[in-house]
Amino acid sequence: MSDRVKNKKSPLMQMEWERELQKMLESPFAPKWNVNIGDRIGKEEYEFVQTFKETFLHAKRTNQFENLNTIERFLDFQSSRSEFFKNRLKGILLKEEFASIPFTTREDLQTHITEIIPREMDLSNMVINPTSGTTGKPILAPNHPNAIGCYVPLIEYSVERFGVTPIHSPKSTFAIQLCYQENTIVYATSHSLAGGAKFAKINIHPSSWRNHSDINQFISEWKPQILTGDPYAFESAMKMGIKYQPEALHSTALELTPALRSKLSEYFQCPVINFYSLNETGPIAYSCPVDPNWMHLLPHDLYIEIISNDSQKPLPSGNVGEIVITGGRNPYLPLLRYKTGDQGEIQYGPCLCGDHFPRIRLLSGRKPVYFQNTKGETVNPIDVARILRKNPIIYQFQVDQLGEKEWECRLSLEENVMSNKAIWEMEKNAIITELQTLFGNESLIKIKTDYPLDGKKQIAFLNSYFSKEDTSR
Amino acid sequence: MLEIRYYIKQVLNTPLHTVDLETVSLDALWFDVLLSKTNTSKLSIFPQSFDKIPNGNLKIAHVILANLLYDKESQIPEISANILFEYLLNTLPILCETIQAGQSWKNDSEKAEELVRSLFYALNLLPKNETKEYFVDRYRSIDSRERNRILEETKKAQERAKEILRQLQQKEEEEAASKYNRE
Repeated sequence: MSDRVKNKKSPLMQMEWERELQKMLESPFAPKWNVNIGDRIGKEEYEFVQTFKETFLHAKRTNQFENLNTIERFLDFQSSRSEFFKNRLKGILLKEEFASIPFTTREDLQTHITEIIPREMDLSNMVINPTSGTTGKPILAPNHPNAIGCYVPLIEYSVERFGVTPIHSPKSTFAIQLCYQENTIVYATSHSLAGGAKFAKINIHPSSWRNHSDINQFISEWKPQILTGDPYAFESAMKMGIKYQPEALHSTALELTPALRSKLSEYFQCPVINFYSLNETGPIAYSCPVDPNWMHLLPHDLYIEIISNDSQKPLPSGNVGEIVITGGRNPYLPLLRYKTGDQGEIQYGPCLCGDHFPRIRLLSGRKPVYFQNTKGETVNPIDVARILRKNPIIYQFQVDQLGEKEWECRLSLEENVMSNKAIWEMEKNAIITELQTLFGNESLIKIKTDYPLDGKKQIAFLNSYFSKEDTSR
Repeated sequence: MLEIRYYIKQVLNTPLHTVDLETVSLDALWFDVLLSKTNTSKLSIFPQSFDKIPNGNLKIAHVILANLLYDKESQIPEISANILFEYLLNTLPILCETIQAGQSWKNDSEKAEELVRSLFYALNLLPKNETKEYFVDRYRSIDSRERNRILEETKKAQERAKEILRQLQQKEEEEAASKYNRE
């Protein structure tokens, strides 16, 4: 058995899975793989996810989702384990005074994470998945292989609702995730929770391949049942002429506009499933097969509230406000009225599609933003994020393309750096140089340092130039 | 019962200079206290002798408390011999371990108050003009054992927090776990 099989990356890997995976890794059309990661699912994690799956499916069948009456048990349990919960729930009658429990903010996750993680939790199983999102400062959300494993039944449920039956076999490729970035991790693995079915994350950016034509060849060779990715990656794939007809597209991370959804559906000749998922919470909702403007709450263990932006009080259904979440299954990150920063409304009651869990309509979600470098080529904002996020002096940022060759980079910085002129000049020049490599040598990068740091989910990328030029984008 | 300050003064004024700590019999002192302050039979004695306690803070504490409880004007009501024994055997030695070098029950009014309140807490006695809540709150605020416990817990929490931050950093650099989608 090879090292891959034996190591902890995929503890349940079997010889046959290994053989099938090896074929994919060694394909003549394969991208330039740059990491080797597994699903981290061992026997215990496998059992955990199976139990979760059974409970979840039973809850779906019997229409039992978390509500104000049932969430009490979760709160009781967590307040005996987490200092953060204990302090926040002190003196509060859980059910009667639920609305007076203070909210948890993104800033809390950044600054109070040591109190949120329950006292007795063994830290050795902690996993941090790199954040490549395009909003605000990312949160290092600690996760557990158990909770990451639960993505599998939840995603499978959402695709089954669109008529896709996941094939649990090492000969099958369940999904290929598409990215379009200058730099990102590219790997292939087998998923133990899907009977060894293969999964690959590929970067359709030309820099990731030996030959440009290999992209199409690779996808056609491995015939994934579904393609996952964000609208930006799917749109790039469409523009690049990637030809493949999956059983479905599974879109996450950014807002999927109705116009793009129908364009993608027409181009790839398959349904497009819009998926709402956050690093902090895991999967939250998937688009209704009957009315794609609405998304059904997916797991049974999240309690959703819609909070008024003005009064900060819970709103009855039919009103728009901030989506606030309590519960979850991530043992390192139990959530207590967590403000997601996303706006939406919620509706209860039966649905024609057959899933009677509440429906969420997301408003002004994370719109994909496009930059164009001085040569007229598209630049993925994630590459900008990569440059700015790796710099420890930058707490939060916003980058705005103001003109054909002009960008404004708004930063909130560490105070010590700001107070030392010489150091700041050096840092500033380094940031400008890095951004110019991305936007083009002739690009003009203006740096502003008065960007507020308030822990809120900010719009990290804007393109004022494009909005002026072409409002239809 | 009188106000707490009366008892604190008694502790601070204990005539230790009149006691030969080398030869004093603690059992004899407590026998006198029991005679005057308990409802138990005059023949009953503590099930374990205190005479073998080596000279030190603990022995001094015994003398101070025996003197306090024996005081005829203290208005301390009858007490339970069993509870007193429990206190002397289990609580007092731990309390004495909290005495720092250079500190003593007799020249530090806060330590004197702590000693009085710890005894009263064990015997369920309430000084005049104090509610139970006030008494407990004040006792906790000066209780060295409680303070040590909180310090210990804080230290543990800080160490845990440090460990969490270390692990977060380390795990960020390690490999992730494969997910079908991204957020």
